Amino acid sequence: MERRRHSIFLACSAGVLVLLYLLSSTNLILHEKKAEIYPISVIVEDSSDEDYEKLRKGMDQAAEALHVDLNFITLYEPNDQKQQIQLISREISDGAQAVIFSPAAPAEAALSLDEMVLNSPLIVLGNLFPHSQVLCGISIDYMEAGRLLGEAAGKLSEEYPIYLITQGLDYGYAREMNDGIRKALGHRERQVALYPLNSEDDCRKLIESTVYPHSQQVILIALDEKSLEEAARVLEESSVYGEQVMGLFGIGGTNRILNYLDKGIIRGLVVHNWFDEGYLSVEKAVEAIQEGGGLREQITLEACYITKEDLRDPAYEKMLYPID
Amino acid sequence: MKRIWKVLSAALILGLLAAGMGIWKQQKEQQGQEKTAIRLGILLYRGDDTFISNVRQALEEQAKAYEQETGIKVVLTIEDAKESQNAQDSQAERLISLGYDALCVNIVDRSTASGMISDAMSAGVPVVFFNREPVEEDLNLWEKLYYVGADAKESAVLQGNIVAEDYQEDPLSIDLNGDGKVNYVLLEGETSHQDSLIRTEWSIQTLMEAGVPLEKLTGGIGNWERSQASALMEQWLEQFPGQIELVISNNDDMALGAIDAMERLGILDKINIVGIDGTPQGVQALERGKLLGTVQSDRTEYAHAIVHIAAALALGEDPAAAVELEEGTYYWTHQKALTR
Repeated sequence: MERRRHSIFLACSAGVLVLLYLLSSTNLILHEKKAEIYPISVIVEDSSDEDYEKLRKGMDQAAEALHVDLNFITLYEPNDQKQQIQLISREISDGAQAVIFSPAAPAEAALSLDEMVLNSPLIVLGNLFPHSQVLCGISIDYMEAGRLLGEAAGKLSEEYPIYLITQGLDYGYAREMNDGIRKALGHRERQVALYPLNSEDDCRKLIESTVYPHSQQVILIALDEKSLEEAARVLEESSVYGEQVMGLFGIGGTNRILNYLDKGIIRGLVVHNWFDEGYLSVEKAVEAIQEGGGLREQITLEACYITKEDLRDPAYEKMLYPID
Repeated sequence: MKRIWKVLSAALILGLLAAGMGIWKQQKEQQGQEKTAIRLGILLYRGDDTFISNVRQALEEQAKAYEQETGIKVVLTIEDAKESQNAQDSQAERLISLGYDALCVNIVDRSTASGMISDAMSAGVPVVFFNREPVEEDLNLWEKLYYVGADAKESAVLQGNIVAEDYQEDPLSIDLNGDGKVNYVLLEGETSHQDSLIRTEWSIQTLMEAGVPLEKLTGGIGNWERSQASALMEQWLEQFPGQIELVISNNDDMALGAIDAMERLGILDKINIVGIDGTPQGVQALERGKLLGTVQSDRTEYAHAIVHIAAALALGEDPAAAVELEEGTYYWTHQKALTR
């Protein structure tokens, strides 16, 4: 009798152990409720993510707060609009519940997206597109940014012609910037010329042309970040060019650009809060996923014109050098 | 009573069978899915270090090349620890919890890798360390740990030979004042980095073995940084006016810092400066005649090795089939001396 009781006790204990194992180590009985993680892809217009530090800080902070698994995707070649569109399709079919993208060529992107059926919402780091699945656009007003630069350059002597340099009016929002600058300078009689930088050496050649064959003092305004960096790099290399270029203005906020502003190579810069832009884009993407659509909206961020002196201003310091 | 016993035994067997089936099913499902995408986390000790920034760029290029070659999507997430080991540990934890397939780590503090390794081991996430080598005991903790780097002794010997060969050809090109000794200053990297000590030791030893009559004026820790090296050099130029004939720098950035100091003080006297790394900025200085020489480790090969080892591990393949490994763990990139 005692032996039987002992056997039953052992069998029961084994049964309990099996039950405990099933409960703790498998999901056969109890299905563990996992916190929902939203896979969101970010597609930018460059081939490296190095210059998106501030934007990414905002995105990463939002990702942590809102349970987002963020894939930050760069292109094989900078400004390849076709690849951006292919990547949007790929990411959605790979399970991205929303895509945030910074269009390389907005007009071309809008046309391509019109022909596409999108199963996930899109957030644009730029102006809102007509497509119904593009639920939010976040950007500064580029016309206004152009106006700010035009006004600043317009304060310099009218003797100097203004050269507008760009990678092309179709890339980014250079066209709007160009319009804004011309509008600001419209009432003044001064020479404004547009110079698209088609090859790597075009910027150097343009600046060299102010020295030889004819010496000509000019003002340069870059309509995009890449052109601004290129011009600043050329000016840094030779003090001769600095005497010909009476002012370099532009838009952008990479640390290299801010260093050029600090060194006095760039005279004035339009900046905005990239951290907020990043945070908002992820927040809006999560809202779009949770609500399954919603109202389409355009969020306009403030564009600020700064000079070297503003770099030490605590208000701008926080914006330009966000901490982790 | 016998019946109860039988019922309990049957329940026990059924329970065990059900558990076994469940686990087998889960494993089978995982094995059945062939991977078409991998996610690699790249953790950098300091993103604004010139050498690391170049490697980062090469890693992005190599990941894209791999994606185009194989059709396997590669998602890279690059994080900058800004020299904080705590920040890097949190970054690693986050990427591990998000199910990344492998981590490529340029560790901040090489003596504290065990914590990160233990987290990675628990989650089964392989780690490829690069540039900053964890201590050997830590690398031996798990078979899925690898290291990619440039052999510091080889870099140093090549650096020493650049100066030694010039000296043997024309002693006055190195012993600038012809007094029979070469007065040098030394710019060293971080004391905690394995390469600093080895580069210093072997560079000097190579020069001495080659018969270059060295005389050390002074030396200092520039922590691989251009600005720190520049400040040190400025101080030495004032302390030893007209005496410095050679600057031996543990890397190109510090060598460029020495050049900055000379330019700032308007010193036009010739001083020979040698670096290591062969960064684009270093090579540019070499082409302009500001550097005597540098030692270049092929950054494309460097990044190729990191991406291919990590991708193989992420796909459950043997990395030794993708690249040639030493002792099953190490990959050393090729290096060459660059001179004017």
